[in-house]
Amino acid sequence: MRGNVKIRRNKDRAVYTSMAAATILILTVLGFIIAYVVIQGAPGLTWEFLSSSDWRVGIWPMLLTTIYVVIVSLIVALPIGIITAVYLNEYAKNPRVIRGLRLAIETLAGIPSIIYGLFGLLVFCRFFGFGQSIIAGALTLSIMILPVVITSTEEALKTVPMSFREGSLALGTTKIQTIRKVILPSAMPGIITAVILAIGRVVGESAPVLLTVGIAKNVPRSIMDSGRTLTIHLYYLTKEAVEENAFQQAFATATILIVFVIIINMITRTLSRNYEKRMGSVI
Amino acid sequence: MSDLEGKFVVKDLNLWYGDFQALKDISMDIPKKEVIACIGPSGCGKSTFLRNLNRMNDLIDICRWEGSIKIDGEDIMGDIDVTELRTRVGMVFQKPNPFPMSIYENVVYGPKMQGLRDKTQLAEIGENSLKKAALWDEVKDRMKKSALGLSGGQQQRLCIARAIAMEPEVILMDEPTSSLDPIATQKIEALVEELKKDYTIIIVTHAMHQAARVSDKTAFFLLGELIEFGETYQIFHDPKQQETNDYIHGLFG
Amino acid sequence: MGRKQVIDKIFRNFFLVVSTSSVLALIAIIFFVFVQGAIPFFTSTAPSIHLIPFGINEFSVNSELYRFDDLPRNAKYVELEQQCESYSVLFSNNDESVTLALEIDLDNDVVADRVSILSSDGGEVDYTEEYVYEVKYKGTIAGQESGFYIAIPQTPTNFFSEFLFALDWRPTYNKQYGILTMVLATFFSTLGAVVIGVPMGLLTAVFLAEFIPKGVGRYVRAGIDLLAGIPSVVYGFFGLMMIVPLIKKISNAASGSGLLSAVLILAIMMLPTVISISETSLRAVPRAYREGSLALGATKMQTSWKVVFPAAKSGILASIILGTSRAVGETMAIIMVAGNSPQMPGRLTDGIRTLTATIALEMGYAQGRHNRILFSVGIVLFVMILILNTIILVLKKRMTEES
Repeated sequence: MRGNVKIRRNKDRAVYTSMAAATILILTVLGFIIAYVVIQGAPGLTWEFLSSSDWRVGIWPMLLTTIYVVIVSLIVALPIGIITAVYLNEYAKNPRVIRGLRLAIETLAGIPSIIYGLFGLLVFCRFFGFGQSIIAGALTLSIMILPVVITSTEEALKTVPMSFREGSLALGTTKIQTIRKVILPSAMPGIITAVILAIGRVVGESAPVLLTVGIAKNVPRSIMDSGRTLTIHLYYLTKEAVEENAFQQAFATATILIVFVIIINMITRTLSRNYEKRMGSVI
Repeated sequence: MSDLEGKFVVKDLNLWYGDFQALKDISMDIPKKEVIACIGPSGCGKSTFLRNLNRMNDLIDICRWEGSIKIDGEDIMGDIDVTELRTRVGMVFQKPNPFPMSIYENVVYGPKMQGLRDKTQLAEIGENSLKKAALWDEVKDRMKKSALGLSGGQQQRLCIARAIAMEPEVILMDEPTSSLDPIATQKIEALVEELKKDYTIIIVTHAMHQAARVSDKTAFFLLGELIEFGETYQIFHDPKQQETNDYIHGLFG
Repeated sequence: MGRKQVIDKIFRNFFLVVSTSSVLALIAIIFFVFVQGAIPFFTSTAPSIHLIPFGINEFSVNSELYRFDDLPRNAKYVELEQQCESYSVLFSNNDESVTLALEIDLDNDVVADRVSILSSDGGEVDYTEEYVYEVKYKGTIAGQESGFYIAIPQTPTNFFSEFLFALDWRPTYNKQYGILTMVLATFFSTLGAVVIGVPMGLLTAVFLAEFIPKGVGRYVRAGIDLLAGIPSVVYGFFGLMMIVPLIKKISNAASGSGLLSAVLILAIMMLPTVISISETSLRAVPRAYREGSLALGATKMQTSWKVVFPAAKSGILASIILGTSRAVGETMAIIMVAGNSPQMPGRLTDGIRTLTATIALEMGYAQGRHNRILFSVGIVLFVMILILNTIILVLKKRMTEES
């Protein structure tokens, strides 16, 4: 029964090799996608490309639309998301209420984005009469990013030690004061992470944006205008390819998106690492 | 004693977790087919010592050790493969840890991992091991049921059966009854009594009366040092060292 | 009660009210999408036949006069009541008075026969589009025609025979709304992605959780996170520029856009979900299981696959299902690489069109029932996702019970 150390070792080695191969393959694919896009897109990233309001030459209108969508959706989603997280973590006691809220949040997180698009189109564009506009899209996306904001804020709140709360409450402060002065500030890095994740989500989103914000290529004058986000622009550049340099522009746009994602990942990583260190020294 | 040469010969064992030295200059000859109890206050290094005999400490990154440990004259760091060492030296843990599988799958897990495929042979091994662990009558009708449905004491006996299925030479027991109720503890102790006919058993315990009841020899550890090692009767009735005496009489610990 | 308690209570309730907004949002989403999507299966498009003039602003129906000068476009129609069976429409065209005589029988089984045009006074009668007659007259200005559309109301679409299990998707002229090919396209592209992505993802997850050399793991994990963050249009773009031409070259097919491209892109896209959730649940497996197995002389590899892996099975299954639901819901990347023809996928290189793609592609121009049917497609998608979500919830509950 015990004379087969060698056979087992060979078997193990084979499995190890296939696992390492799978991992390396995945990383290679990732590296290849990034390299392929960035190498062809980077030369197109000129100042003119970034700043020209003429959609044939530059992407300023798309940058602006994207920024508007991000800002408006954050303005709506952040307060609601943070308050919900605070409620769930600090106030809620009734298990039925907690379960109901969590079920809703988890279900929201699982709904495919195109469904959000349908909802936004129906309610914000048609029912509220916003038409295809930045505001309609931002409202739609704000519902979509709620779960992200809530869950990451809640995670941050959970790491705030109980002693902070007790210490503050013992001094005779009200609960809301404790939350404002003690709990939220110490959960701040986590909340910032939530914000950045939400920004990443909004910038990368495309299907619901297509339905609710539209495809207008002009510089939006206000948030009631239709516009075209970077992702939708990338899609239309490849779909229509009317201009000669469409593909070059597409590569440049894709590069911006990729660089943006890399930056977001780096920030969240640094934040959470610093945060862990700090909390480690507190506890 | 029929066999003068020890099953395990430990010489100058020093062990560190990072900068902390957990074991200091341990030398010990562990005889065959006897029950050896390791006692001492918590943190004295008795469990660490036990875990080093089948190299379970390899799993802890910051752990390193020097000295020599030989099993039947063979260096455990030498030619012998670590998995082979562990088939020869079985182990039962503080908390019963049956795998989340059926009772049958648990008990034949070891032989299966060694490449044994024959169904009848496996069934036979399973039955014999469970009988030896005095569990067969309780579980023979529910072999396909999850092992997690057993009581704590049954789970621990299943873990012993799982170790026996490997036909080991030594069974290490790391406080095997600390999470069990008195009746389950009693059953395990009776089982240990039975098993020492076939196996060398090294048991770590913090219950002194348990050491007194089940063991032939007792080793007393304190702050990483082996203070005294001798016949159990002698350790409990006529300890040679003052520290042993104090511990036995409950002055610290 | 002191002032402080009052303030606290006010805030408490305020927070509760705000917190319910996610519940309300969910209810609203389900309600609106389901109601809008259900309409085609329960009601007719209109209560009666609509007479819609074009190029004509003044006419009479059975001697009742209608003037449509300053009405909005979508309000310019006359409902022909069912009580009366024949109608004569009078108007003047090129200073000549024209009479159009109709007979209506809404109970006729043949849609085209529900309206019979008895005489058109020189007008050209056409039935180019299902449910719509067109009667055209030469207008006053050359090249500009005037006349009427006669729109027959569409009776409720049968959910099973005309929608879910129907093959033909010809929504604009033929008013056929069969989505079976799309359901199958979604199914096959997801299945393919699972077949490729799950084994790769699980191998990687076990490697990351149990074997990866210290120091390297951090970077690999960062890479996986990055993979999760790349927007789907970028994946679509990459697929379009790289995978599609490659498949075209290898397979010699007319186009590389199709099932295989979709499968490959979806497989890459579901990897990060499968890997990170599986890894988390593998790490959560108690140390005691690992020690127990190793102490029995099993190798580390055997321990990982025979004990740790089964012990984490709920989480692993959840990761697979979550990855699957990502694949089912993916839209833009698929549109860019799948070819988008609503046909039965036969070969790997055949163009396919998924449920999500249909919604995104046609929402821009869909009118009337076609528009609503796209919401119905959304319901089908929604139900699929809800089923997958429910499975995950059950698994999660099991996971917490296990640990």
